[in-house]
Amino acid sequence: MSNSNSIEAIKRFPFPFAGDSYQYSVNIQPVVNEPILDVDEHYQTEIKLRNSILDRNKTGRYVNLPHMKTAQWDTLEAIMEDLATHYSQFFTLHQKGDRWTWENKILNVRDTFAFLDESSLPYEPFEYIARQVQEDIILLDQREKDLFLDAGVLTFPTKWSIEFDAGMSFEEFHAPVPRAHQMGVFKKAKSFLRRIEIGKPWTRRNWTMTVNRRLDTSFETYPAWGKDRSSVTLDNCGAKVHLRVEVQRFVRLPRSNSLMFTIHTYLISLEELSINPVWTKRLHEVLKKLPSDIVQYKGLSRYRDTVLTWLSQNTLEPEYTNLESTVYSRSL
Amino acid sequence: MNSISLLTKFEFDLSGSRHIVCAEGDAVDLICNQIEKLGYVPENTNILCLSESIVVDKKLNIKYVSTLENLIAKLIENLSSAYMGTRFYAVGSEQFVGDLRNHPIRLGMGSDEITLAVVERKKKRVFCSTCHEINTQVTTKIFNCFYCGIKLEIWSHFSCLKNAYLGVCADAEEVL
Amino acid sequence: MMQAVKIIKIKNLTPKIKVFRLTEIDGKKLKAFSPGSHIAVEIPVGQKIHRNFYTLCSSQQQTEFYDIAVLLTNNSRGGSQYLHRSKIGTKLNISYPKNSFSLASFAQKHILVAGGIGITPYLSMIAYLSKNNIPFELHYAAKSASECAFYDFLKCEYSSQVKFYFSELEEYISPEKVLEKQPLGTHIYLCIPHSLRKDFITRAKSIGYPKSAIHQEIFGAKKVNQKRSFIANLSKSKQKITVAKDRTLLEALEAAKIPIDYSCRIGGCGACEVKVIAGDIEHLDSYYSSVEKTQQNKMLACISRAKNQQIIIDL
Repeated sequence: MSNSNSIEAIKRFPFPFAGDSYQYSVNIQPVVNEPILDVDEHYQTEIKLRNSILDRNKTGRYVNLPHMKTAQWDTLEAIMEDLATHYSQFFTLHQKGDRWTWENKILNVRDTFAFLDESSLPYEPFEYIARQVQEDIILLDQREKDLFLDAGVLTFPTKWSIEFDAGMSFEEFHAPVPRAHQMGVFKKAKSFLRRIEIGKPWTRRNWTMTVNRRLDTSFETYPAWGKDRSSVTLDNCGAKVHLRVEVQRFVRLPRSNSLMFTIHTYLISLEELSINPVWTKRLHEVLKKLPSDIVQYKGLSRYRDTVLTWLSQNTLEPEYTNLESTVYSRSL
Repeated sequence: MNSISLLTKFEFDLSGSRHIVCAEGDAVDLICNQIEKLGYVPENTNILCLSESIVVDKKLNIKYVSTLENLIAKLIENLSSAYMGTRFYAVGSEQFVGDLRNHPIRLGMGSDEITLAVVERKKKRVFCSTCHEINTQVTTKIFNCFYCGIKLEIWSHFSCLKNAYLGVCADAEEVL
Repeated sequence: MMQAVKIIKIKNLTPKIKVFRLTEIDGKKLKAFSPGSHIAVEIPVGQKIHRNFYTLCSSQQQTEFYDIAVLLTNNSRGGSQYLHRSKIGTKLNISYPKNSFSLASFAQKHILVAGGIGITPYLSMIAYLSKNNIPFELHYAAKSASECAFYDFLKCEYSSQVKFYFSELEEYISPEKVLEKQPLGTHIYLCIPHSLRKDFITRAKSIGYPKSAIHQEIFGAKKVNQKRSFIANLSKSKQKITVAKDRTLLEALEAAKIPIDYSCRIGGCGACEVKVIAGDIEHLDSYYSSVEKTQQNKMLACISRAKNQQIIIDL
């Protein structure tokens, strides 16, 4: 994938660090008066990529346990309403009782179907809508005071497999994450997520780094891209190494009482990032202080030092720029 | 589906009013020891034991079964006629416990009605995260996937649904 | 999030229970909901607005309207009296649906036990269960058939699955009979008076029902006592901050320009944690475990308060 970011995309990049150090916390904000999903300049490229991954081999990328049928329709409804409300130039939804007509002008899709009648759509409702958004989507079933990963579409993961994690409880599927368990972070996050209400979505950001502009860093393709991590040099670092930010959103689904968890992945190369010296400086600080187990977990061990050197050589003093205010008003 | 922690020792959950126990081979001794310690056999206890040699033990009413298939068939028969208040136990190797755990869950039992005790964890079932096949009887931390040939490292991440550990490509990042 | 609705239909179910049908004022769809959900209805009482909670007793298939059943009570803050006096066309503000009494998704069989007005959450549940062919039994106790809300409807639609118990006829529910010999994977739901609920729970435990198979309806948020003002003494910056009764500690700290982190502002995420050196804390958050709460050494500034007049904080 070689779609680099336009200057506008760089300016609205969801830079994840508000301060200079890395901390585990639930770090969650309400989503108010803005869309759940983001349709950006990479829409068509990423939809094409998602379709090709799903068409090649759906196992491992698409999971949907039998009791999640209602949640599938919930997801379709929530996404269609969100897109039609916030991006009405591209998407329209007409509802006449159970007879719905959905139009996606970007993909040239127009379908009329019966809501809650699976046979009226070309795919299962969840897959149908997932093929029209850039976000990966996970559906968590809420029962027994816990959240279970019982459905999902995952084409752009950072080294995890939805095929393997299917059916797991909240703490089970987070088992490989270091530290947070001892700190009780997941217990607290879970109790927060369980109380999310209809109409009050929340968002948080998660980050890591990726070598080359590659969205599909899955286990399934790990043998193909793993070596990239050994290819970073000071010369190619700026173009090759990307900061990878996941904007995650949590939405209570009304009919099933399940929780929809969307993940929009944004990639920005260090060169693109360095347009904003505040960002380069902050990333440098965070990376420098990052504990070694987290470095290992995020897969940065092989190239963190090179990145640190590159960042220190390419950081201007923030006083020389007025970009920060522009960028921050968007990202915070 | 449900998260059930694996224990290394066996104890009856006496809040139940019926007990269905499955044991593998010598693991049945753990149950006998526990009964001895209690001083009585809890009411409505059925013990199924997977074993080649059949020992007659009338006192504990242990049913010996020679194959896993027969044991599972017997278990399902027992569970289907069981009522609320029943507790299920599996005691044996990690593999044995994993083979049985999903049967009571499928019939609607919850994690607080199920006790799993593992006495041997040398042989593992491992899910290949590259080709999605499951390797059985794995005894080393690093091995080659029987199906796709890739070198796998076993993580401690475990899936109840797959009854397997996660296997991750061990040398993906290495440059030859 | 609120929805503006109006009453379009009122029906007397019993001398004391009325059912109200609500639709969106502009004829739009109402928010969909899951079986067992409730809404908060804003009721104007004098100058104030009270929030009363009512379960939705219409089917989730239906998003054109909601039905709520309201029992007239004397003791309350006047909410049920206000509704019982309302006429068709009365406008109300209601919350989005919320579910704190949901069906267990993996249960093989559901036993629903209702007493009087406790029937309401089960109506949306049985609509769902019967549509999906999931086994259930409904045990419903009332004074008599004429004081039994939805009697005709239930008798007609679900006659084989519903059992009525009328105290006037000296019919009583026997927890033992209901609970014994139920298949594995049975879950029970209790919406009944306290003493009967206790009998059910005791009996269920002695049979060996696990805790996770017993569900009770818990309504609404934790009730906060009258909030009082207090003084936060900041040990590092040597400042005294007065927290007015209608303000949070976080707001008071922000007003005083004391740097403090925050995120959710509803006591759920832990971002605004402050260390407490002395003074008793009234924890109102849902973030800390009960053990952490008893330690009394940290609190969330966005929601929790001092129990007494002063508290010393490490800021």
